[in-house]
Amino acid sequence: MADPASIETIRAAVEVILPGDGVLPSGADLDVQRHVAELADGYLEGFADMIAALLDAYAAERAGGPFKDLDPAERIAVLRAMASEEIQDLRDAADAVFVFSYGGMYSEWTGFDRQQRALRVPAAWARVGYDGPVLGHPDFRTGDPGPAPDVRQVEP
Amino acid sequence: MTDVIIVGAGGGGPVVAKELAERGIAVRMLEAGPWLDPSKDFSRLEDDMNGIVDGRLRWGPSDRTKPPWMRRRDGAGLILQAAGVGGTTLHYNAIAPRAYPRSFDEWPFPYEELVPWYERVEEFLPVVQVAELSTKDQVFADGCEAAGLKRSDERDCNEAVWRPTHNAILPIATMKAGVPLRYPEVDGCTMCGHCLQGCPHPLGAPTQKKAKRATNVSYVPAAMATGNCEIIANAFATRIMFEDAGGGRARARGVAWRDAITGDEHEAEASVVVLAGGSVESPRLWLNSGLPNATDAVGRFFTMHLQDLVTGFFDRETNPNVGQVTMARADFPGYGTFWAQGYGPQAFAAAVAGIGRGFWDDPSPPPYDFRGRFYGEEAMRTIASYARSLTIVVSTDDEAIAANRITLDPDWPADEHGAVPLVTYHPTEESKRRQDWLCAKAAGVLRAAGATRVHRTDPGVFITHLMSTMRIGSDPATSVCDPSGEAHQVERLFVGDCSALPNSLGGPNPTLTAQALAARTASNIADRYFR
Repeated sequence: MADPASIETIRAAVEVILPGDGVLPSGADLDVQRHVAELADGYLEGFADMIAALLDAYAAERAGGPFKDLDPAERIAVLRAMASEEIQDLRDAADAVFVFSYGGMYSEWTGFDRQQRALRVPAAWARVGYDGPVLGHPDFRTGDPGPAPDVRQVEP
Repeated sequence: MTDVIIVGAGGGGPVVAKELAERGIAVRMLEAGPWLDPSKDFSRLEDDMNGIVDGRLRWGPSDRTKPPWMRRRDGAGLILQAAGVGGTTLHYNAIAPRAYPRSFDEWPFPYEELVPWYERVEEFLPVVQVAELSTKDQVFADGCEAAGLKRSDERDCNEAVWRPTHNAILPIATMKAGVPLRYPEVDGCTMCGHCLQGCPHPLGAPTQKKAKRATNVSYVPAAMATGNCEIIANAFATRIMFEDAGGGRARARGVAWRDAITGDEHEAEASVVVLAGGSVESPRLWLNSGLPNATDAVGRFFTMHLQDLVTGFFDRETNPNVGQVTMARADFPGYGTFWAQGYGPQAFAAAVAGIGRGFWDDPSPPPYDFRGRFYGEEAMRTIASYARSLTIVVSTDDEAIAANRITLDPDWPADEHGAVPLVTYHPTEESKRRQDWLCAKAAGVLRAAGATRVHRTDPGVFITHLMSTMRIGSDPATSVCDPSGEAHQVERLFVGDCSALPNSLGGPNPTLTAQALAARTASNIADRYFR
């Protein structure tokens, strides 16, 4: 499990990647940082703490403070620097923050309980115009995506 | 006693299993991952199914609280492969094109010799050319026509054309208003758009009648129906058992495996062993077993398709979530191929903002308006255009070179299945040139279709379609298997998956060709050892 301080650091990254768009709330308000940390640790135990440590190390070098205390423009500068690294393991850390942030926001994650297999339609789906799980699209020719999906039924 | 043990029940292994079992040969097939039930286990949700760390279709053990199986990487980015009965066909698009005939200049036999095996697989799966297009594919087709590409309906491809795809998906079901979307009222593809998450449709259909013809619903049931095939899921092969055959050669005599749930170790003998664990695990297993490797050819000539994504944004709905995920493609022999790609918003967000090299506000030379990844409100507003976007996936004719290879990583701790694989891949300048050419062409198709803005992902080395690490060939210095599919240095050991392909086929999706070659190899096994 990631250190709570690490999750706070990752939250500061999610805040600048997914700040909200006037319709959708911010990723941080939807707890996307928990998704990022869980997947990082699921990939390799301790990886979430390592990501946070790297963000802080870059932040210290650039601005002399921990990542979460940087202003948004400085946080972005840190993420851009990490994402541009030649060393694979450093780039992996930045990739994890970006990919898992978007993955948490735009998949079912914000509305899905994996244990109960219960789905609440994520706000992001309505925003982008995605139906979610459907049994089929009888009207595929017209461009009309067809009847409203039965999203209550997650299991096919 | 088992006659043949097959390691891996992905795209290729079940083809070998069905072909042998039908001939009365007793087959045991080991699969490292779980054996999922499409009707119960395929939720159609992107993160639940496709999550690379803990999705059901990841490369990892069936217990999703455990980490995925480790691959170390040098130059290689994300690797997309799935564990489980069905392997990567569980989440493939099911596009089933043949190789470009011209790519056979690197094969040890002519294209015409593979054609009857293509036909055999195409008839069985079946492979069907789509009869109608969904919106996204019609947009793609309109762009191709406007860009001057001619339509072709042929399976053999020798010139630049666009084609309604030949897919390993049942024909589109007749769906009438008021009739429930369930079997047997509907029979065939319901155009749900969830191909990448594993196909559970039509609802209520028996496994062998599911629309997308992944091997778990096609070759596996057919192999089982013979009564001559046993499948053991959650069985991770750890060692090929062998004996000295003299002259530096070995003779395979069985397989040892570990139960990925209990940790129990097993082994069994067989007359013939077939490797079909994919282009990373097959060389890893060979090297971890200590099999002879005098020419150091094992694991070399790793090819993939150096994929890229080019996305157009339109003033009208394109519905990337509707229909078979790919129903139209364009072919450019000498460069590669590209196709219309339907997917969900998670994959879309990653493609346009999450995984690219560089950032949207970096200078982007034409024909792209922007490239790479981004963040912030601008990124979220662009992602909100999902329903008015069309992504084209580019698949490059990737040069096969010896330096791109699978080895064992000396610097990383072994896992419970032995030393872990190291995937080394650095594209050649020629492969990168072809990729750039295809991306520019894709941008042209999107603009001709009316795109107002065009984005290139430029993901670096994004690995799908892993091929050629155990390739067939006449020269043992540059190939692992002889033209029949049997290892040059190990009697009674064959290869039956994408790793046996001699090159990247010119760019087309490799599964059908790997399956045709696997069917041919199975016939060779039967003729040589079970007459």
